[in-house]
Amino acid sequence: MDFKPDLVLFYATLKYNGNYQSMLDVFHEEYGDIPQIGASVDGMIYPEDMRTDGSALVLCKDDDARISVKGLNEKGVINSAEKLAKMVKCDNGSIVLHFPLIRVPNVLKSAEFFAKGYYYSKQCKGTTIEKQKQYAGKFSDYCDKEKIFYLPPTILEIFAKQTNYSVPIIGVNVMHTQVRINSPSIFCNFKDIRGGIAALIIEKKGVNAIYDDIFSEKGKTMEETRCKVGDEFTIIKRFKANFEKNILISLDDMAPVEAVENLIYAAEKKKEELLEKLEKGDYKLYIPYELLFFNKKTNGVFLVGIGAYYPFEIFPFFVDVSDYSDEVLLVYAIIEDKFEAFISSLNNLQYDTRFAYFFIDVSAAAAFGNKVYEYKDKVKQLLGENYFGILSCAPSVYLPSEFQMRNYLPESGKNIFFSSSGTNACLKI
Amino acid sequence: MIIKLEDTLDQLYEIEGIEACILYRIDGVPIALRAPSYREDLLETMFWLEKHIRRVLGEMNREGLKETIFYFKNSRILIAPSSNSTVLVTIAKAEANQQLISLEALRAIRIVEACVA
Repeated sequence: MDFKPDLVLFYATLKYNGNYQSMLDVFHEEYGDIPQIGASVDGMIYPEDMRTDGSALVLCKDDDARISVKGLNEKGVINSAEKLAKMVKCDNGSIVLHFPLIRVPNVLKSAEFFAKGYYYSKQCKGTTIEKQKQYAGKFSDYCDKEKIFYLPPTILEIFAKQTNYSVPIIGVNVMHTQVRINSPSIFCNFKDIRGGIAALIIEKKGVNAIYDDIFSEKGKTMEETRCKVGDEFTIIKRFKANFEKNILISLDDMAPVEAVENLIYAAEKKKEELLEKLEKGDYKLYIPYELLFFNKKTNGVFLVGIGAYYPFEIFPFFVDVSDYSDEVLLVYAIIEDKFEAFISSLNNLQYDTRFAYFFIDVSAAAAFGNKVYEYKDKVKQLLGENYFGILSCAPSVYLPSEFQMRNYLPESGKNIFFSSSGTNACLKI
Repeated sequence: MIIKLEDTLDQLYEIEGIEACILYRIDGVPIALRAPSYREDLLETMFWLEKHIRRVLGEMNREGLKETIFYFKNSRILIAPSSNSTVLVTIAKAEANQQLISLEALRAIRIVEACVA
């Protein structure tokens, strides 16, 4: 090697689950003092190829940038994010956070999660709404403490506040299309920090952050957004939802999955069956039916897939919907013509030789199958030779207004954009 | 060319969840294969493939299909022509990630096509 790198990126697919640390040890011996970040992902795109199996090591050098990587794996998601944010300083440039969207713990903890879910579901039955919210709040706290559900908009807000809302922050929401026990993993400075949070801090003037999604624009008012949603999605049913933080308690006073099971295929699954699937790695997450929430503060929306993921009645997910309206829609969207939109952030880049680091939603593979392989050539055509992209869950972004190109629909906090699918982001460094 | 073909099959076979991958001539004669040592169920599948591959390819051609997946009880068989004279068959476990394996199989097909065509 004829240069000394400033940053090591290392990503690996789920095949190496359990062996990440030994791989990182080998790299540590070679590049020990260099900042490193990465995660377990579903695929990688680089100039020579596009792979959904294997691992990728990228060595980066930039004389004009100051690059550092910091990570933490403390108890509790919010606690970890707050502590890590205090360690981060960035006035110019950008931050790339890596954290799981959902972290599946070991068998024992997974069984405990199911048992807690059962318990709080049972407690929520036949009691007042206030009590239900109280129990759901406790379950939400448990999920946070045990680091099962990470809430990207909340995490981004913590980091944005710490950096005075001045720099773009990309959240790489790591999750696999088929999840399994003890996955996904985050890598920070050659350590597999599992369910920790890692931050790549790039201090450099002129770093360009681009975010885009497959959706149309939000409206100026919630009514206007409702109309636009009606045009973009097929609405199956409207519900009155009862929720607390990131726990959906009921839809029209029925358990969430029970309320939709006759409208979509969502057969109930037993705890043992789900645990077996988690152990085998055959727990499929992507489904085409989604619940759509309206944000009362931003007039944006949040979409989350609904299916029989849990053997209990309440439905936890990965966004705190406290600021959202209790009118919830069950929708699906025809996205046949949105193949290009899954990589739309790359279309808005100026063609130059700077390094492009981008994040594509892997649900494109579920939507378009093998056609996704065409991205390999499309990306090469758009970006030339100096790029690296990852295929994982849809990224989340905090984007100061000067970086925004339009009124994005999935605005889940002020200048924070996230949806469970359909977003993409890119950094031109 | 042979080294590249063999390497491509090796890479495909190394993917988690793939039990075997076989490059057939379109008349059903195997050209190269990667499989574990002795597995009766796999042998049965391979005999089935040798017997039926011509017909399956004929049907695929008639229907204009680029690939076909057979869902067996414990496995998934992905059949895709890799050139005018060859077909790549990938046998995966039922619980394997079919979407991602499909993408890797397509990548292998492109390489085989470039080698053979």
